[in-house]
Amino acid sequence: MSKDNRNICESKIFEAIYNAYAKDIRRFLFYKTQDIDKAEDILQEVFVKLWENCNKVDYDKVKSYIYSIANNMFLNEVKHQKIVQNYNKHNKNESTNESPEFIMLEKEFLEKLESTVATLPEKQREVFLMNRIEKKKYKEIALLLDISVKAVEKRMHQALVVMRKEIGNV
Amino acid sequence: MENQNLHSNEETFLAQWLEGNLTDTELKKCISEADHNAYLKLRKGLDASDQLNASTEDSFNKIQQKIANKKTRVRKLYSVRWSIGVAASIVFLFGFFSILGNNGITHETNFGETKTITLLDGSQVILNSNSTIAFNDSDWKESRQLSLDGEAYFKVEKGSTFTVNTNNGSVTVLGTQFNVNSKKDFFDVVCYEGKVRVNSNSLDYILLPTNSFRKINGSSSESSTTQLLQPTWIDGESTFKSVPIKYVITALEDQYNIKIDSELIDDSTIFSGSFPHKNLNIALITVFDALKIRYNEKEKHKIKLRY
Repeated sequence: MSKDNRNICESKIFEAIYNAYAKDIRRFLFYKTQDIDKAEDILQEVFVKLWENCNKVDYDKVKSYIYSIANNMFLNEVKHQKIVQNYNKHNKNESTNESPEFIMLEKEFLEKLESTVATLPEKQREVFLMNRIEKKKYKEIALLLDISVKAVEKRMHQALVVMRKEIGNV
Repeated sequence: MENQNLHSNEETFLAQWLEGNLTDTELKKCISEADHNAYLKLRKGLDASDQLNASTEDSFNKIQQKIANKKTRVRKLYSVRWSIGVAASIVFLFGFFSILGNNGITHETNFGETKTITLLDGSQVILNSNSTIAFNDSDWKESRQLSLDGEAYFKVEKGSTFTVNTNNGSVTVLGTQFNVNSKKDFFDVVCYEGKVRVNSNSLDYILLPTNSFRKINGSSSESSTTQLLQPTWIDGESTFKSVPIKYVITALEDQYNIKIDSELIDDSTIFSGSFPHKNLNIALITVFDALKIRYNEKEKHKIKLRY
């Protein structure tokens, strides 16, 4: 296979790489950090670093490069958090703000959840996506679909019940 | 009433809850513990999913900002480092040359000029015309070394080894009077007092008083004796003994700042004699009349020789 000589230092190529991988990297980081804000922060650092090293990275290997950078940065973040926690323990003697009801969102759970949305019955899915993706209130949806608010709520309720069943006791 | 309310919401309470019209605790009353936990996780998963599928455009803008900020920062640092590097190299090069170049102090003479220089230890150097000596005064006490291009007469005070470095070789003494003439391929050392060691082409020659060492054109080193107490040029006269005429011509040129064209004569003719430093006409007469060479001054400072 001939080597791809596309230069990552070209801002168009760089942006294309970002658009291709940013969501996946953010997701990857979210599974690890369980914190969307942290995932965003690290995502930004990853691509700043890629830009700094754009001359050293082959276009062919950019995917594995950014994933390993993301992983390393996550591990550094964990190390840093441990130090912060230790510091807090020793100096403030306060319990950390991690709540006992903290819900872990595993990769498998989220993937299942998203695939379940796709398999919802048409009417439920329509309402569900309008509400979740388009951020429409039940009233607006009712107007748009020319049904009662109650009907919208019923479909939404049903969608959640189906998803609960599909995903099972997780 | 509450029951009725719950009943009326029987088929919609999850929708109400998701929209925030029903609190988590209220939801708990409607369903089992396991269901409650499952729905809490489901909601959290849905929120996360929304965020994960949201546009990454904002982040890209932030990345571009960070890159831009970093760029200027890096450039600043870089230029500072760069200038420090330049400054350091300049300082370093100065130090380097002042230590190794042995060129701390330089004395030179022009055409027809002689100069007497007293060195730090009281040694004297008399520099003949168109000559240069250079030495480093900072470590003069440790090593008495100087470099010479041209001709100079040394009266060296007793002390550590005194070395004169020339392109033709080096002359080392302990305390003595000697003359060194090193011009291009002509090298002549005369010892007037004490002992002199000449090192040329990695060969050592020891000169005793009145001895001389001469090397012409890289070869033939012969010893001859002189009856003089010091070189005659000190008194305003250059003396030569069996020297090819071309070196006498060079001496004349240095002395009077003239150009002598010797193309038409045999410049390897041996000359013995002397010429004065103050009068060019007499100098030319004494040198060239003896060899039956005619000379004329075509233009100022340019003399053409022929038979």
